[in-house]
Amino acid sequence: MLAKILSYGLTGINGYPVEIQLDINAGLPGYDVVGLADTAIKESKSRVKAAIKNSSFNYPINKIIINLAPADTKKEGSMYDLPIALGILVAEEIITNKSLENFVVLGELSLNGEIRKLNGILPMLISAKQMGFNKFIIPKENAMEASFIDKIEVYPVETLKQVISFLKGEITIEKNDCKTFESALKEHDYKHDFAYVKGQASAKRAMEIAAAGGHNIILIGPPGAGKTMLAKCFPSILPDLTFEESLEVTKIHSVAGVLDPKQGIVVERPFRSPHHTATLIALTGGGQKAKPGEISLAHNGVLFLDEMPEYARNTIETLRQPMEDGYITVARNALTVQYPANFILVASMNPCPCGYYGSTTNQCKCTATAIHNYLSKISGPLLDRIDLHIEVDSINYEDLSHYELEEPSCEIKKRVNRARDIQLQRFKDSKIYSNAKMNEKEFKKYCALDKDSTSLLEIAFKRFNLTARAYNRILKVARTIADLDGKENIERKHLMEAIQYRTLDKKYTV
Amino acid sequence: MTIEDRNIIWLDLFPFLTYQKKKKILELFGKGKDIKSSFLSNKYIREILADDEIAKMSNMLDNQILDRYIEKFNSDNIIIITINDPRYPKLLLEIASPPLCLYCKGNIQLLDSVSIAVVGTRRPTDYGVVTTKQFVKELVQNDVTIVSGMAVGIDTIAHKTALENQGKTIAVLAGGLYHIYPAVNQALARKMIENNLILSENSPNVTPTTYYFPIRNRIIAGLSSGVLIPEAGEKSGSLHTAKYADDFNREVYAIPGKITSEMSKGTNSLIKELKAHITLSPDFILEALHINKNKNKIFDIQLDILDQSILNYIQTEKKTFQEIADFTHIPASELNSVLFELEMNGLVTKLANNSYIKT
Repeated sequence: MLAKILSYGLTGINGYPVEIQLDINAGLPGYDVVGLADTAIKESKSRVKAAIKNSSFNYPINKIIINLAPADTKKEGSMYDLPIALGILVAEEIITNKSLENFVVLGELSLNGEIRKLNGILPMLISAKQMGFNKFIIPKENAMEASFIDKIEVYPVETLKQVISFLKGEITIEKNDCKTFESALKEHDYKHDFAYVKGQASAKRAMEIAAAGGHNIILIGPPGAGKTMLAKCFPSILPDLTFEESLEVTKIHSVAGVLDPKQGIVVERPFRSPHHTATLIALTGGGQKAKPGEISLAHNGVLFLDEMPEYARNTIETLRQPMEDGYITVARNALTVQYPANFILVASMNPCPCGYYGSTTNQCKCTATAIHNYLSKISGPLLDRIDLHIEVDSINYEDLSHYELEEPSCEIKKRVNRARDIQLQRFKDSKIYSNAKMNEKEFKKYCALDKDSTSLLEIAFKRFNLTARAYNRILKVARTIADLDGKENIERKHLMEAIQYRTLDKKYTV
Repeated sequence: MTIEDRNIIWLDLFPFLTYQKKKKILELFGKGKDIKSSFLSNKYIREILADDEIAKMSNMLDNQILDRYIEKFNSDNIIIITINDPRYPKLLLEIASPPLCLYCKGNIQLLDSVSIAVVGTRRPTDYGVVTTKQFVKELVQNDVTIVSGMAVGIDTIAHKTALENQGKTIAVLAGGLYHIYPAVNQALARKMIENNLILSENSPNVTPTTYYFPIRNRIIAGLSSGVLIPEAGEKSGSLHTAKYADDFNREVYAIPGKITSEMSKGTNSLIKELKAHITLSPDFILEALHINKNKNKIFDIQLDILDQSILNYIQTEKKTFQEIADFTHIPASELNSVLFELEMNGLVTKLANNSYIKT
């Protein structure tokens, strides 16, 4: 007897329907899976057999042939355990194929018949909904994640036996509640808050600009100056995620298996800080299954590279293309996947190998060549894509020892949100959210300067030997500063402040 | 080009020939004779040169080889000034061992201008950076040419400050002009050949080795009326330059520093041993050069109370951005543009670590 069950598969963060066709014939007992299945699917044999037996059903002593259609696409993962088990029970005529009509079934079985959680539920459900499917049987542990998609029926299940009783009509399973994004937003309680960072007025200001305009930023300073602390506070002033942004992030986190099952959706901008020993693949994504890397996990959030020159040169150089395009293409043997990678890069570094160049407290012992070599570990093109360079000075004792709190993050965040609203309004017809992502055309339109400012920029270029590539960056930052100021046009003072943030250009080029 | 000039250029092609050997060979063959034509037939040559040296040189006896070299140098805009050339700088002729030939690139009119050498440590402190900038700026504004050695540190700052203030500057290199050292300064060298000058006594193909640097320092001292040392450590090469300057009867100016500072040990001991003038301001050097201070170039900038109070605050000691912010009580956003404006007008200098000092 033949059974047909609908299920779903994933390439990258896009789903595609998979039809599981199952036939039981007379012959020597056997279990054949065809349709480019990976090892996890082939191993389903043992799990399915044990689960069916332990749910007190009969496992057929016949030849079982399973085809995963379309047969020419590679399939992977353990989500086909449940549909295969249901297929066998249909073929054994315990349930009817009709009862499963229109259902998309996903779930991994354990030997005792329990259904275990899966990765990538959200992207599969979203693309299934777009394809017109609207009834789903999924593991109960993934229910939270599925509850943010409206207009679909989701039945969360816990055991194989429960599914059978449900399909037979013996019991009813409560449909998954649909939740709104707003209900998931909770009062943020950030571990790190700018209220506890003493002094550092210029660095805080630079971070405010970075958050408001989505600009990349590099912090340069001696050890112990508080670079890492500042970076960790950064998420607390980032503008709130919108629902669309949140879904993009959740999809990636779901595929990578880092989603919190209790939360179900990502509500805070991600903050990823890979260690400097991280490999290229760990950062960009890849591996046998073309999993998303750190830069994709940081999508719509922050990628923090502490001590940037310590990273392998080729590893950080690969960031250049995604920083420009906002996505990364991971090409593997069997499949080519595109992951979004639209992050704010926050990097930190010492000014020289010993770390004390220019420090007031310690004498630097590095030779000029050593400093030059250290700084040149970060290539010009990469530095180019970092809009804000800010030097962090160490804090003196008087600053540390007074107990007054500084301006809290929530106050800064209000200003950031206001500036971001202006930008959202400005770019409402295009696909970008922030000033940092402006293209040439938008740049021309929104970064126009008056005569006074143009001549100022000209003098500054000559005086500080700025490169042509610094030009765009300075103007984009000036645009954000004007937005923070609530001004329609870029003014002279905005421009002057923006030029201050190109330290590395000024100092290290002739 | 005279036959003597060609002789010198030919001898310069062999890096193993020392200054003394070259002089001896030139004496041996006498004036007006081509060395190459009678090189092998001269029996006294073996008293000066070793066999392998003679062997190497005899491979290059062909006139065409020398012509090709000279043609190449010309096409690379290298101006060759031998000691017999009227363009050879007069001051340099006064020294004990004037270079036989100068390979120059850039504006050779600077060779006879009034000049001061500015040399010092390769690892200056903030104090060295600020004083160098201040002195060089003042000097070039009064049309004094700055001579230095293009090493990292004080030398580079001296060249760059001269360029920034539209002044004149000469770099004397240790190696040949095809081997700019240190490589970091290649861009600076390119900029300098536009209106200023780089030169070397070595043939352009000679690679710089440690041996050449102290010898090169005699040219730096020889080209200038005086040597200014803003900062030098105990064993700094700039002390060689000071020694040469002393030998050549040129003035040595040292800027005193803190006795605890590693990088002022050299300058302080020069002062202590009475080998250098204790130099407190650029005016002192200008007076010694009999230059009337050029008043026109000082321009007035309107300062408001805030600017003035910041300038007073950072007058003597560098202050970090945070300290200035705490002092003035104005937000970082505004302070950034205020400091930028001051920096643009050349009133403050931004140092590493986001700190500022009055220029």
